[in-house]
Amino acid sequence: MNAGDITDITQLLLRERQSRVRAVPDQLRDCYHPDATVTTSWMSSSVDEFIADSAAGAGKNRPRIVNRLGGPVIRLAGTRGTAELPSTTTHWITVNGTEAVLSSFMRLLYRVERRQGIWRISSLVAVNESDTLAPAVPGTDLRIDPRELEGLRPSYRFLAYTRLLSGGTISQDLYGTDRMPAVEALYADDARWLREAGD
Amino acid sequence: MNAEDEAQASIVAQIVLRERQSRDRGWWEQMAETYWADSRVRLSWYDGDGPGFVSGSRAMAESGLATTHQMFAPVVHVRADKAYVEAPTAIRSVTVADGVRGELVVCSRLNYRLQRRQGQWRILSLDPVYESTTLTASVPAEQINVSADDLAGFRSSYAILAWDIARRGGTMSADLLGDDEPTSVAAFYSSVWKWLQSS
Repeated sequence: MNAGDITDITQLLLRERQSRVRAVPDQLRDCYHPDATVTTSWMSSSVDEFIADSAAGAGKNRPRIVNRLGGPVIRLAGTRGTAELPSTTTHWITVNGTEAVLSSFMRLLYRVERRQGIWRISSLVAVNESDTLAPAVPGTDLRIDPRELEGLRPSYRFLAYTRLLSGGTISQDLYGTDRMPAVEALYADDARWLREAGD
Repeated sequence: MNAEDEAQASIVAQIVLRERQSRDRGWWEQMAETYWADSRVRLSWYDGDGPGFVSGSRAMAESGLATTHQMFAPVVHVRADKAYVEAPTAIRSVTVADGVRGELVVCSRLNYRLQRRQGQWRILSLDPVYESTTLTASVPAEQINVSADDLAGFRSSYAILAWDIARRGGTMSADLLGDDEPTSVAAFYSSVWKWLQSS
C-alpha cells in the first residue's frame, strides 16, 4: 500500500462529493475518466449524463442538501483501486405541508484507475443502508400513515416514500443492505476487477 | 510527526477503517488480519484479546444481531513503530421496544493503538469512549416510551445501549470509558500519550 496513492484517492473521492453537492460541473468532470459509469437512486448512466444532471442543478433553488462523509476504505493493486466511502445525505423537504428532514445513510463504492499518472474514477455505485425522516420543527406532525410505508424497501424507505409523495418515481431494485446477495455480488465483482490488475 | 511518520499515517488509518469495515461486512479473515494475537479489546459486550473479539463478533453476527458503523475521518498520530488513532463513529442498529421498531444510535470515539512489527502494522488495543445514545421510533407517527426512571441506573454516556442490553438479559459493565466520567477519560488519554512517547 503506497501512502501517496491513498492520500490522492481519498482527496479525489472527497472532491467528487464536494463538486456534486456544490454543483461545480467542471470540477466534477475532472474527477472521472470519460468512460466512467454512475449508478445512484436517480440514475444508472454514463458520466456525461450524470454531469449534465449536476450542471442542470447549478444555480437553481434545489432542496437544501448537506452531505457528510466518513473516511474511505481503500484497496490497491497496481494501477487500480476500490474504495468504500460512508455517506450521510440530509435533505430539507416538505411532507404533507410540513417541513421535514430526510437523512439517507449510504456507502458509495468506487472503482478508481490511474491512467497517464492520474487517479480518476471509473465507476460509482451507491448502496443504501437505511434512512430516517423527522419533522424539522420538533412537535410538528408529518401526518404519515404507517400503512403507506408498507411494501417499501427498508434500506431506502423514506427516500422512496417522499419521492412518490412528490409525484416522482423510484426503482424498487436499487442496491440496498436489505438485499444482500446483490450487494455481495457487487463486492465480489470489485474484488475480481482488482485482482485482474495484480495478475 | 516527521516525514516518515506522516507517510505511515495514511496506511495506519486504512488498517483501522478496514477493521470496522470487515466487521460490518462479515469478512472475518480480513478482520483477524488487523489484530495482533496479544491485543486487548474492551467494549460494551467484550473484554479480551483481538482474535477472541473477531470470533465473538462472528458469533454475534451469525445470531442475527446486525449493526452498522458509520465511520468518520480518523485522527492519526505516528511515532516510529507505534501509532495512536481516534476514529469517531455512530453505530446504528434496529431494536424493537413495546412492539415499536426503533433506531438505536450509539456515538463513540474508537481509540486504537497500533504497533508495527517486522514492517507490518496491526492493532494492539481498542478502547471506545462512549459519548451518547439515542433511540427514535423508525416511523415518525409512532412513539417509543422510555422513562427517565428506566435509565436512572445506567451511565448517562451509554444509558440507552445499557438499558437495551439489560432488557435482553445481558449486562453492560458500568466501568467503561464515557464522557460522563471525565476523570477516567483524562487518565486514559494520558496513558495513551505516555505509551506513544515511550521508546
